[in-house]
Amino acid sequence: MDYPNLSREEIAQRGEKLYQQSIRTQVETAENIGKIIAINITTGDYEIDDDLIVACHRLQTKQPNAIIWTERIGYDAVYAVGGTLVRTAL
Amino acid sequence: MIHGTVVGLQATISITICRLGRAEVEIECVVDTGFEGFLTLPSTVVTDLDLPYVAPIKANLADNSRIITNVHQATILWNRAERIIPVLAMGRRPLIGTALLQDYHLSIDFCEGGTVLVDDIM
Repeated sequence: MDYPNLSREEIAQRGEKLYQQSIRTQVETAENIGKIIAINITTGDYEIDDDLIVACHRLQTKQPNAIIWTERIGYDAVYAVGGTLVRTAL
Repeated sequence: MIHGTVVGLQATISITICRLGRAEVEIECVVDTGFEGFLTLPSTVVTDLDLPYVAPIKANLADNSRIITNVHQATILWNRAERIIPVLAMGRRPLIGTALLQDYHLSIDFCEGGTVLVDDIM
């Protein structure tokens, strides 16, 4: 996948807003907590998988030009690099 | 079984990056059990290796700050098998995280030149 025209900060801003406002309540179920969601920030379509690469590839296969944002469902970040992931889901 | 060495009180392991039609590249990484992902590589190395871009993500750092960083994908040789893993383009020193160590046994002799061993869980 090529780099999109948007900066990563712009993708993050749009992706987080879309996830929080339209997607989170649909996908934040017990079976999905901890999984990765890959979201097309243009269309709102998404794929969920344990594996980040698999989720992104599945979305790109259906929508090759997708600009993707990812979240870890139920947590405040995808990875902890020395820090801690904080659970946001009940 | 994967072997590494302790250098300056850091457990290091060399990772082999596979590249289609090009020579494999070995990169020395520090094992970081505080990193829950697979691998980090400096942005310059990601660019040099031409690793395909995937997406940006949020990552939580040790100082409680949160950053947005790009994920790329790499095919690596891990325990003699090829694996496609997400690579975070960040930092100066390549790090191996616990996602790569999941379901393996890690042992470290913490002395200069000590043995680092990643093996199956018995």
